[in-house]
Amino acid sequence: MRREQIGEFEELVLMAVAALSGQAYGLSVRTLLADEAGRDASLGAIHATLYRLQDKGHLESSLEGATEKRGGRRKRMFRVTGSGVRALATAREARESLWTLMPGIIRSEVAS
Amino acid sequence: MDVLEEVQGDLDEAFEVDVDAVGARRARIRYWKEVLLFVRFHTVRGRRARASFQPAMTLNHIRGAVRAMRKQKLITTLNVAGLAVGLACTLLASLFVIDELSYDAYHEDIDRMYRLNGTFDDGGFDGIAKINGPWGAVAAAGHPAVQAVARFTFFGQTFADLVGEKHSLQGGMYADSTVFDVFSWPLVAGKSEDALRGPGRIVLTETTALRLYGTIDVLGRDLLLGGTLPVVVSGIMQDVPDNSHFTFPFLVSMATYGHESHDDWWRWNQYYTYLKLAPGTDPEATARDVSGVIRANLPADAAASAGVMLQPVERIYLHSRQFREIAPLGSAARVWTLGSLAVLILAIAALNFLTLSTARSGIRSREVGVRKVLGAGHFGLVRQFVTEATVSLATGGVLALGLAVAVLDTFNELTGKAFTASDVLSLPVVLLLTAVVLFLGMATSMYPAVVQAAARPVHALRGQAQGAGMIRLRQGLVTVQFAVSAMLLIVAGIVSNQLRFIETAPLGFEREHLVAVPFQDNGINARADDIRAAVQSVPGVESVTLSGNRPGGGDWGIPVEIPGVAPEDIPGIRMLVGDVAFPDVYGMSLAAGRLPSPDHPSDRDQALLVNQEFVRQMGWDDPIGQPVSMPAVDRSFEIVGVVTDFHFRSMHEQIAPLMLFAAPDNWYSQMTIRLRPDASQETINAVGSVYARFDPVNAFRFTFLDEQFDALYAAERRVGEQIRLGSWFAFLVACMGLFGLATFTAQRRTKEIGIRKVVGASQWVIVRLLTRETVALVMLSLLLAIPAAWWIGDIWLSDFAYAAGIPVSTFMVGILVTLSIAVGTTALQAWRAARMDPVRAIRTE
Repeated sequence: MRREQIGEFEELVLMAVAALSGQAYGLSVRTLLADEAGRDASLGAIHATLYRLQDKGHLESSLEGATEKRGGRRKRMFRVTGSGVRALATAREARESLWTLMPGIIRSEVAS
Repeated sequence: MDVLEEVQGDLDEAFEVDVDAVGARRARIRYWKEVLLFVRFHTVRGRRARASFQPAMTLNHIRGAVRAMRKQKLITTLNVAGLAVGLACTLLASLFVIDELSYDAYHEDIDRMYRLNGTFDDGGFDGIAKINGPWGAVAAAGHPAVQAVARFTFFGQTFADLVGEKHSLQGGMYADSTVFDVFSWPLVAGKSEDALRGPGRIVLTETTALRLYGTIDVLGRDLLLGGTLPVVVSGIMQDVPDNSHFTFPFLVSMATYGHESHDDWWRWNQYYTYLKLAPGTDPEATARDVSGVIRANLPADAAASAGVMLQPVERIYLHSRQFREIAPLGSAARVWTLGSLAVLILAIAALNFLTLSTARSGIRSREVGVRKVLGAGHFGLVRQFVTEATVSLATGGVLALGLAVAVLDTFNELTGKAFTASDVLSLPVVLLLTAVVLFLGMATSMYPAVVQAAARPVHALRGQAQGAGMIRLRQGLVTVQFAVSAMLLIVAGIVSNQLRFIETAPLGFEREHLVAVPFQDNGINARADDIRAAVQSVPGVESVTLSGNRPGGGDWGIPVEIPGVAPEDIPGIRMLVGDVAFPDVYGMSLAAGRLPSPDHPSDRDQALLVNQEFVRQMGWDDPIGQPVSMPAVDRSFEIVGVVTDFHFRSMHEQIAPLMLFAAPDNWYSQMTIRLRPDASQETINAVGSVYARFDPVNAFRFTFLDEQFDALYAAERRVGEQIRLGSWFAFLVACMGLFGLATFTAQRRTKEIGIRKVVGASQWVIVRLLTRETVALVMLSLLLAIPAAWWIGDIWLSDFAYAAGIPVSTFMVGILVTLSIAVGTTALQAWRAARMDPVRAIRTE
């Protein structure tokens, strides 16, 4: 498995976890994605992606304190690892360098 | 299980958020959706578990399954074809059942919707669906627990005048402005609060709007109905869904309905009244309160018999037994019949599959032995057999889909539905089919698989895995299959025997050559004598009578008073109303007294005919001259004659007390014409042109009385056809099973047959030897089938007041057909085995 490569949805999830700095778990990630990115994903999909990112080493997690709302169940909190930050940076670099290569006319059209 | 805890936590928390955001109901739905979406590989498998799923082995199993199927083409074909037929039957039947059960369920508050029915003193009905106007609009609407009341009454046939073009419109209704508060029928244009408020307003369905104008953008247009009634299009609604217990092309505001008795508490029970109760209301208590209000508004004599009950709208389509129903309904009995037929046929197909699987697995015991010696594990073998079964089942399932689509037209005709191929191929149906296939795959292959896998390899290698238990099981299965098939066949015989009895039984009057013509314009009444004379002069017409109603279910009821008899001793009496020629035209015969005649001028106002049942229930010796009065219409009569009892309703019902009398001309709604036996289509055409002179607007319509009476049993005829068809499918599938079994037996006994032939047995002896087992099994199955069929037939017949009984010949036919089918199937195989070359047979190992 090539560690650096992540898919578009994985990238979104990874960014969401980073944005939530320490408060990221299944539901909060879903809510953020729905509100900020307009992506209405199921909990199952989020859950799967979080675990996949953890397998790739971009996330780490631990089970933390239970709250009343969850019927006394603990939740798994996710944090971005160093490799996760690098993966995000790589993805962004790739995107921006490609962006600059597009002809100006298309760029202005996309922007407007 | 950390994963479980974590996932459940997330789901619960999401649920809490959703409850606040979108309400508990939607949140619950979303919760389940989320749960289902969690069923993914990574969650189900467990994060660190080793995969027990071995793709290579599964591929090997599928390949083995295909090879085994190819090797035994005949058995495979029988197996798969039987399954396909069984599954296709089940599939179509479940389409029907699902559709029937979905009626009216789309209304948002269906659990709080009721229809207000009048209590009604007549056997065979629970009540009357039409009640008086104020009962709903005043009595029910005034009750605190009633949230909304909407009444409907028929608009009658009319036409729309559009730029010189007339479009006929049938089945429309007047409705209260509150109709959309009770029913969830969305408007696509106009406001539901006031679309039907005030006189002269009309709401069209989309289809009607398209038909009239070619567009649905017609809000505010003026429309002329029947040439006289101007209305404004004030709303366009979506078409009433097909699964509604009644439908209509348009609604006219109730305020437009100007009947003189609209607000009468007693005389004009013409309103279908629907209402919505507040949540948590007790319907029975509400009905009691409403009945109380109604009685308080009625004169004492009427109040005694008046009352209402609340009928849940969701039960109307399948369970209603009301007089004057709003539209033809379905019947729970039909749903049950078709549902149980489907289950039976599926069961037979499954048993068939099991029979053939055991037969096949027996042949392959050697292969199992080899696999075991080479180290196949117990579960590996079980999995192999289950895989094989699932492959055949899946093939059968796909074929079943194709088969169902292919016979869809016939099925629609049989059930009166309009299913399309896309209904058959819809997701829920395919999912259901997959579930059934998987379930059958597990259930039918487990037993043989486990037995095979458990066999000792040494025995298996010698081909000895087939225990006596396995063979007995197979015989038992064939017996059950034939028992079910024979039972269905006999029941179908009982049904058609009863229908034949009904069609040929004397009704008590002559229904042949009678044509009924409805008056679609009330104005004809004013010229009753003219139209009578005009029709009478048409060549081919024997006689003609004008009447208010006619035999065949159209009879009315009215309270009567008889001097010297207490009101509670007078039975419920039905009535037919026609001019003095009525009894004569219908060919009724006289048991006592005389028929009314034009020679007695007073007959027109005072002569009453009654039937024998009336006289019998009153206990009169000589009813002639007995006075009878009807205070509700302010008339008094004297009995002049007694007619022989005749069936004026269907054979489901006992003949009730009946009276016949002439009515004022304005009661007439139709005429009945007796044609000469040599009358032709031209006579009807000539009558049609006479009718057109009196009613130039509406198209001439007519019904033959004998057809009308036959139509009373259309439902029974359909049930009979369905059962008969079902029995043939059952036989077809059962025969495939038997054929397979016979083939297998013949194969197993090849060597024995060879030796017998060498020693001198003739071919016939061999055939008899091989058929004997089948005959014994079928005899046993008939022993089971006959009492079962008798029992079911008896229940079915108990629905008729006049039943033909269960003739012995039905059973004889059932026995003969079953035996010959079974013996024929086996003998075919036996004959082939018997003609085999004995030398080759003996060499067979």
